[in-house]
Amino acid sequence: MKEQLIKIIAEELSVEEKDITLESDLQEDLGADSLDAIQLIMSIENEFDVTVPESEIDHLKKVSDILKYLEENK
Amino acid sequence: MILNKEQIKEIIPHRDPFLLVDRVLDIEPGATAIGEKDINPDEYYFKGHFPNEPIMPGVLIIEAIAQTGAITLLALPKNNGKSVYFGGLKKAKFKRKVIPGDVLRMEVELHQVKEKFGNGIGKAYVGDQLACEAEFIFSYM
Repeated sequence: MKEQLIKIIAEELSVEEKDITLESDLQEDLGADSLDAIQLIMSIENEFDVTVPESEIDHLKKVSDILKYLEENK
Repeated sequence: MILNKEQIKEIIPHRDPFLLVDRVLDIEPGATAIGEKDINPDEYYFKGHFPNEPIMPGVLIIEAIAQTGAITLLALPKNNGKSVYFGGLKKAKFKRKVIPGDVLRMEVELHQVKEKFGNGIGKAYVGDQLACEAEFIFSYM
């Protein structure tokens, strides 16, 4: 799941997979703005067949936050 | 015809000269819509775009697609009276010139619609020829 997630993040944010770690902050480290974050979450919903409420998006700051959310809600 | 211009004006706030959907041929609120726009020789932008070669600006084709998407979204009773804004565009391509006398047909599918954001894909055709396609992100409130 982690590899798949990193692949999607790399694609959506146009960053190299090798530059993404669990500790990467989407906005501060990977250069995402709020709209990128929304688009990323929508791609993740598609890919993992999961629904992320909009109220949750603000809490998903790091890659590890997203992975944890997926593990708990998938 | 499912919606005429007057019915469209009840759903979205756009008005002449910037209402770019003349009629809606088919609509499934919240999901898909097919709209049409007659490209008249006297459209205001042809005077300058371009003086000797009238072509509909590509950004206005995108706008016509966006308005068709807005109709789809706002036709849902729960979205009545809301406003929709562009959030982003991806993979926009222009494949064919759109010129006076053409009838532009916009086909839009909304993919994910969340509480305040969504995305979808739109294509604009003249007859069976693809003139423009794009993926879009929108916000609404």
